[in-house]
Amino acid sequence: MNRLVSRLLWTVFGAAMLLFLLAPTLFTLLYSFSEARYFSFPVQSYSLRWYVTFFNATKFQKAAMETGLLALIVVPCCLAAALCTAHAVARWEFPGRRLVDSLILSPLIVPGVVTGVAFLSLFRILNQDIGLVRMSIAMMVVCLPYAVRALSANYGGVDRATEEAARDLGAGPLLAYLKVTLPQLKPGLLAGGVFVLVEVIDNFAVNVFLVDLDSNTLPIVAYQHIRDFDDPVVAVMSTLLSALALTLVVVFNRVVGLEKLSQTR
Amino acid sequence: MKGGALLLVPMAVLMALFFGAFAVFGFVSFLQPASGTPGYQGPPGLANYVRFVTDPAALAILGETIVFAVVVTLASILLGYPLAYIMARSPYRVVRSLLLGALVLTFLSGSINRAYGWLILLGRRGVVNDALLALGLVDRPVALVYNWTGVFIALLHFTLPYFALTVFGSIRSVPMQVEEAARDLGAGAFTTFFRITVPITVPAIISGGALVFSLAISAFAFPLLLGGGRVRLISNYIYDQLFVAFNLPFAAASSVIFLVVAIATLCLFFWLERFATRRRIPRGGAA
Repeated sequence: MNRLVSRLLWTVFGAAMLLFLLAPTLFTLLYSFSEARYFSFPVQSYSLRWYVTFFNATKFQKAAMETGLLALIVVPCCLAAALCTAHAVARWEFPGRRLVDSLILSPLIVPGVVTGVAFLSLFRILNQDIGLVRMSIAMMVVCLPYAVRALSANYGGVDRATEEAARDLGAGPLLAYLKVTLPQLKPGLLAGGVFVLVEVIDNFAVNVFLVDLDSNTLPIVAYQHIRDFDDPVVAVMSTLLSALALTLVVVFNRVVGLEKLSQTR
Repeated sequence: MKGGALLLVPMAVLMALFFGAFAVFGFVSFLQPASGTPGYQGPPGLANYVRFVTDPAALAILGETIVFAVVVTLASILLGYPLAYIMARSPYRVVRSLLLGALVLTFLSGSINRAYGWLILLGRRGVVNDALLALGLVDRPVALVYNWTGVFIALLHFTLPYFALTVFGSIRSVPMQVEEAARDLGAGAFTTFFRITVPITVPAIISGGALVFSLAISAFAFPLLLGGGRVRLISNYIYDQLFVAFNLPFAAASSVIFLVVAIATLCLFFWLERFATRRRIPRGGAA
């Protein structure tokens, strides 16, 4: 009897948590497909009209371009910088290695708004007023810890014997690295890449200080839209971004396995 | 290895920009805005800091932010720990992957998106109010957004995955045999959970708690969207100094004070974690 009650309690708790976690995404999805301007549940009639509105809105088109461009700059650059750093920290004994280790993590503990104000002060002094440049630099700094952590966790598991075997068989250091070491770092690169991509697309607190008049990113445009209008256009954007997140989850699960994710962050 | 120094260059450049930004910003916090221009003027002084610590409104916002972050942290621990426990220990694979998938998906689907989702759910015409009315629990719509309740729910939803994913790994690394041994020696499921599993994972609970606390104390988008101007945390206060009052020096000084408070509380968490780890693992033990 006691066992039954406890199992029932766990089941109810698990179901409630599942509902709590997924409810905002699910209802946003429903809202994005509803015909009506105001949300009502159950949805009266479905339509794609808000998708049409979303794709035709210049401000969302521009923001999507800007966000995509930012991601194209930041993700590869950040991963490359992180790869160099993780390699040096894992393979090279140098004085102050521990200091570097903790230095890299420092952007993680600084609140987003503080980082935003700090970069704004810096760029005002440097007279740098192009939003994309300002955001690219800030995002690389903010995302570096995620990428380095994901790669450092991966470096521990790299088999150095294979690398040495490749060297013994006549491969140069670069070839050995590219053919033997780098493929083993795929999980770390993928995990790091996912975190950086998500952070770049989603960041609001830092970027809101750094955008210029025509370089708004998606979260910023979404915020302005929610503030000024009451319609499901942002629900469309949310749904599309959730679909992107779902794709990332599926790909990640296929390639590396979801359970690895909790070890890198 | 000779190329080592070269490998550190990208990191060094980025860190130099980061700390450079903080140096500039620290300096600006001692200046005053030059009236009528976006620039600043000297002479450097402590006026901005004095203004913050003598302004009861600013101090109240800082205090509320800390209390609120503590409440969110406690709630994340209370809900997140059992959640992580189910994910680690449920005998059903479906349950485990379903919860883990939902958690990771939530974790990856942006903060503005989720704040917006809660705005739809919790509004006056929202589903939650409809459900409460239909169940007869209330007789008119309750205000769930544009107040602390809304910000709390949305922020908890944001922090929960971070906490649950942190302790999940730790619970999984507790060997099942340890729990089985306790059961064999006559402990009930309840006793085993609270006297074996929870104590072993205390360091993970503390580090997950520190993570949640640092996210909650720096919350910005959630109070902005769901607080409706009535709920303002310290991040919103700083934003307003910049975009409403156009006072970058004062915003910088407020940020410095906020940063010091945030780092001090995080140090407290790290100290707690070290203390907890040292007590559990006598000496030289593997973590």
